[in-house]
Amino acid sequence: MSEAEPIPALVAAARAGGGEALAALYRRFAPVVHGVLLGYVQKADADDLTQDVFETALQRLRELREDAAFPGWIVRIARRAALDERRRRAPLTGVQIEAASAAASQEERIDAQRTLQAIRALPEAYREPLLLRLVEGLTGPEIAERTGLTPGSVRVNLHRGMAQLRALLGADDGNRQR
Amino acid sequence: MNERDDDYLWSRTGRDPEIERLERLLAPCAHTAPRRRSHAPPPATGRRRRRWRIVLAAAAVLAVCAIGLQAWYRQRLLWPEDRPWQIAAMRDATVVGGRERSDARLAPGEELRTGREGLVRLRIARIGQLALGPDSRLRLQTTRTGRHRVQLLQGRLWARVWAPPRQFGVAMPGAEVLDLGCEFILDSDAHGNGTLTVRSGWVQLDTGRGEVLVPMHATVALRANAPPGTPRDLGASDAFVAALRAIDARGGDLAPDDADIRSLAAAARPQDAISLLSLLQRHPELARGPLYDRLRELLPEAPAVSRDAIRERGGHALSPWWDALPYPRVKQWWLQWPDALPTDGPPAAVFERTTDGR
Repeated sequence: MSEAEPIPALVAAARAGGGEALAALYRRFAPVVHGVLLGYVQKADADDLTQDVFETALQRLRELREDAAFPGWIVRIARRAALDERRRRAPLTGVQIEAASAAASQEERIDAQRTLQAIRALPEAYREPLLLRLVEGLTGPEIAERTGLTPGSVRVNLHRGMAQLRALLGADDGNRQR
Repeated sequence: MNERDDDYLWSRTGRDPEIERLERLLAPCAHTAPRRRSHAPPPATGRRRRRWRIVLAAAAVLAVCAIGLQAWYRQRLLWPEDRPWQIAAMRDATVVGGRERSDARLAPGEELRTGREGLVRLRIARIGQLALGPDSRLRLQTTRTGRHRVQLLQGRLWARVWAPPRQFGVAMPGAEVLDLGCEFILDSDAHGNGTLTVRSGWVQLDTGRGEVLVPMHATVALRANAPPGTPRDLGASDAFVAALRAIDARGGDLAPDDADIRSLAAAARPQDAISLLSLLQRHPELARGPLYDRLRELLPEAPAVSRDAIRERGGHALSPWWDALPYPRVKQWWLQWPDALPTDGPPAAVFERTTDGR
């Protein structure tokens, strides 16, 4: 099976035990799952939970009635996994420091942290597309294909989410300068 | 700005310095193997360019499949040291020795105990599953990337693992049971006497003085104060089983043409080659008798292994016969990839398919 296969074909092949199809699904949807999880948990936990989500999806694949519904289905599994993880863990105190590149300055690390916190504060409809676009690097059409949303909805949510994010970051900048 | 002005946000066409800055800032948080971000405009769609793109795309697809599998495989094997294992299902069971917590997990040093109707199912890090049957006790000893060890204190344990050899093991009084990429069931009393039955792949028993290899569809006796028995196929005849038990009970004190050896050779089917070969491995001197002749008959396609070679090199001379056995190679553990898939059905079902009970 090739990476370019339609999603329903990959899902059908994976259901039949096709290793290549499984790998292709993982490759295509791991960034989506990871991006959704980032909306709730830190990167380190999102990295771990991404694997857990795929194992759950593999286990429950036979429950999926329509292969074409796989994108929305796995996104829902990811959200539930994130919420379960948040309920399971004791609340952390202080600022949670996210991953940063080795070359990042202290200011960039703090900026990244603020930006993620601001994105997480947005409504889910805006939060997830922005994480998938700005963090995971998916384009709008890719987000639509891999989440089951219409391109129109994704475009609107990206636009409005970005506007709210700018407002949040701008207000935060104002507070810091006082 | 309206939606028509956000082409870069939508499809990464054009430029938007603010969004590009956010992308650079947040890139380290992306999933492993982040996408490369390019600010180049989409390529032109001339015919010649399209042909080359098709050729390159085909090569890239193959690479991507490999990368996808590799990424999934790599993630699966990683595990932070001492991170507790997740308990997936629990009935009539308790976790002893640990701190109270709201989630269902088993941490290193803690013990799982099941009652008469008890059953627990848990995940072995990310590499497999384990179930504990009624009236059983299990302790988690060690867990980290590449090494996961439990101790079966008593009762019944089922495990299914898909990982490189020896990443998962069960400590028993008489031996360490090491997974080589497989599914198996362990039964043990409180002293360490019991059986190991392998359903897929191979299991290695490490006694400290040697090893015993047990393949799929075979079972072996575990003994607290003695080395493990000799593996045998689950379909062995009563006569074969009786002869093998008598041989194991004598612990190697056998003449090559001993009556029990003759009975064993006479009752051996092709599937019983594992028993004969295991005996020869442990007691090369038996090659002087009918065990050797019968094994040659059972493995006619295998390269000849001479009696002289066995006398000179002991068990090391038997490699061609080990390779000729009709089981997956130990080193090709990944062929057992169905063991990576969760088992269907209720937790108790994992104990139901098997064994002849002898």
